[in-house]
Amino acid sequence: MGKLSWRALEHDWIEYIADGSMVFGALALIILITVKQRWKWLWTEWLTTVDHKKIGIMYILVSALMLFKGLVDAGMMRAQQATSVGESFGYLHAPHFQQLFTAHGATMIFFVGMGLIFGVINLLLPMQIGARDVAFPFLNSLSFWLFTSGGLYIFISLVIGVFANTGWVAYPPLSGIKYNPWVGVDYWLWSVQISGAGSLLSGINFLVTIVKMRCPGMTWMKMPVFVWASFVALVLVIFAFPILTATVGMLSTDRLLGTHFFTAEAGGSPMMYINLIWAWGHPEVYILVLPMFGVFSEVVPTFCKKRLFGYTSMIWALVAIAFLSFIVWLHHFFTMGAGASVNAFFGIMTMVIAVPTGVKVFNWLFTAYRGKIECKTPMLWFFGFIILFTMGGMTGVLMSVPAIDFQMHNSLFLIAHFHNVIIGGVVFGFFAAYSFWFPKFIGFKLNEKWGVAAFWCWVVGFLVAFMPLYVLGLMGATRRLNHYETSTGWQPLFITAFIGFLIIFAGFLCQVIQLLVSIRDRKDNMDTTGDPWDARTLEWSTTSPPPFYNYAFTPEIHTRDQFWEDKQAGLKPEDREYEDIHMPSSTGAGFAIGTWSCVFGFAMVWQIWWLVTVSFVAMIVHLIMRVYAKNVDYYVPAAQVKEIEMKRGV
Amino acid sequence: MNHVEEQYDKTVFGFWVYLITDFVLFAAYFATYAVLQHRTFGGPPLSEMIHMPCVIGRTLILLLGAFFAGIAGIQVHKRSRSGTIWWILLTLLCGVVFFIMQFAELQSIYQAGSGWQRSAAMSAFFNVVGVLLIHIVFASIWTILFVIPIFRSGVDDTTVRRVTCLRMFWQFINVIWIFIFTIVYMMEVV
Repeated sequence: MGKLSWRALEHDWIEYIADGSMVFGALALIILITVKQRWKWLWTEWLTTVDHKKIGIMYILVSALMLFKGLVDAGMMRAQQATSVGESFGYLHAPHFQQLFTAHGATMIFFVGMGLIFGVINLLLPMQIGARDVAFPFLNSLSFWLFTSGGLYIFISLVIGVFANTGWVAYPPLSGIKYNPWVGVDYWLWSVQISGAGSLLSGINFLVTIVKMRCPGMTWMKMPVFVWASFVALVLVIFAFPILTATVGMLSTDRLLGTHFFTAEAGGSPMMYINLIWAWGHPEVYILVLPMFGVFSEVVPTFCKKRLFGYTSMIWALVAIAFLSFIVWLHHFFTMGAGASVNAFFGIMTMVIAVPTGVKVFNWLFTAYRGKIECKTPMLWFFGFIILFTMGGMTGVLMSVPAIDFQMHNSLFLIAHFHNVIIGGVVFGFFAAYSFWFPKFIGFKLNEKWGVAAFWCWVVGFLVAFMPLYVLGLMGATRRLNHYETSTGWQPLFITAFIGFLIIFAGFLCQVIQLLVSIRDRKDNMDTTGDPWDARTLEWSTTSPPPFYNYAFTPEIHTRDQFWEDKQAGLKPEDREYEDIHMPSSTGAGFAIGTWSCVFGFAMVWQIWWLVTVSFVAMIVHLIMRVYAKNVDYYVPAAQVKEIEMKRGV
Repeated sequence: MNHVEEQYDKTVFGFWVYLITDFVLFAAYFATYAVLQHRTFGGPPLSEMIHMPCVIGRTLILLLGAFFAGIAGIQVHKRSRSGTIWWILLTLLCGVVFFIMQFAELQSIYQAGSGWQRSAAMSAFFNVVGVLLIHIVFASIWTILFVIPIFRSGVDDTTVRRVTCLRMFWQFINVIWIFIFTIVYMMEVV
């Protein structure tokens, strides 16, 4: 069985608790589905679906699970750092601690961040451009299953073997075979490679969807800002993710075939890896945050009852950010020693990128200025975002000065900075989207009271958890420490940071309660109008939740805020004859290929060559079967459309 | 547009976008090669192990393949069954001959003791050429898979779409080879 042996199951007691609860959770879920006899429903309605709305919901469910996992990792690290001082060495062994910070980073970026943005893009993008589905529905399903397979390794590695101990971007030579002979880095590699392939396919798919499937009248400069923001982020996916595939592939061959790209011997260049990974990594952070900028650009006009300020400048700011994001990567390693002129160039470019971002911030504020602001939860998240994100941006500009970066490099100051922009930007952006569009896709509103409580917990918790890290960074605390001396005087600050984590976790729990309470009270909060917030874009013109074909008639627009203007003018949609609707059929191929890719990666990790062969052939066979498949689409007859529309009371 | 035309339009554009991603993939490999090419770690330079006339010969064969692929693309739009089959099979033939010649070169270099494990420069060389060969393998399998249905039931809308993408893929392989020819081989011997 390759490298696999019983030794793979040996862990310490903390890991056994995690393993046990995971296996127990999975078993409980299986029993629940069996008892409720929901297997067939699960298969036909969810696992084989090609409906972009259902795929979007599944993305968000997986990401929520991953968020929980990543939060637990964070809490364990904070608890370790709060207690592991002087004589005491805390409760985690160093190897376990190393896996924790690696898993935390990988989980949060690859499976929470990417999952959330693809979830939101899946749900909103086709709706906002007035389309019935994406350009390639089967590919969309495949992307989702590849993403999920990649995520599974983070859990599998908890039970069988270990995860990487290198930090989330796995710098060589530490991640090379010489210093990391066992399977941890391989799990990381295949996790990133498989989910990265999924992201790349999604990138192509949605780009084509935007370019080719906009409804009549929607010219480029009439697209909603969310669509523009996603478009720019998808262009970044297309240009950045292949670099990740190439880099991770070369690291794999270094480990597997004995090549010398990044080794410390035979002429290999570890710095080459670091350049390449950040040539992907820096655009990646913009891939995460740009769609969320789009979300805020929809939320703010809706809750301020004003047109978005500076539409054109918003678009150009997005494009400028996309361009600049490819020429700043070196600021992640000013300390490489590239010389003063190279560092100065990248430092200045990094400062320049704050300009278009500033344009956007002011545009949102000017939109809110003298608007009739309704402080509903999505708007609260916006306020949290604008404060925290600006703060994070400022500390970023601070570090873009190479001379200062030499002091801050690899310190907790940096950690505080990027959590400030990622939590403030991406996570708050998602929460705004979640509370804003939940009624659209599920059919009822979320509970406001618990939403507000969650908001305050997150904001206060964030400040309590990360402000001490800025101070600690200035005091010289480096990242990824699992032990320090009492004389440093850091402990009170680390304890404060741990308390901050507890408050954030309380915020997460508030959101779980919010969801449960909202489901309980759903009868009182039903959205019968399809437009609960009096919003502006096309998706609000259909019912909540939308029918599987989204729109009975393809919408047609003449201005940016057509739906809003029609409402103001009191226009009602006229009665028309229903037509047949062309839709893609469900298929299990995406699920099958995704599952086999998971087996393939696992076999590669453990070098079980027969299983590698079997799973690879299985993937190819499923792909070929899909290529030759007939019945990939069908027509919904007009009579059936009419029946559905009547039932929905349109 | 009816949905067949729409499907054609979306697929061909989507395939272009996919090709962009593949270009970026190779861009990363070329960058790596440019950085590592002189790090032979005491091994012989690549220029001593390659035979330029042979390289130019297989370049011409592959270019001929791209030309045939272009004709196949025209034939399929004319809905000519035999035309499509013949020209696409000729493309395949050129691809396979190129593959064999290239593979033989790699094998001789490997057997001379300069395999990919030898040095960073050789790793980068084997990588960029090897990934191109993998592309040719996939293009060949894909060609065979698409020829069978045309042979059985002629050219239909689906075939037109597929063969258009396929000929783009063969031509893409050519473009990448031109870059390899220039950046790897030419730069090595001049």
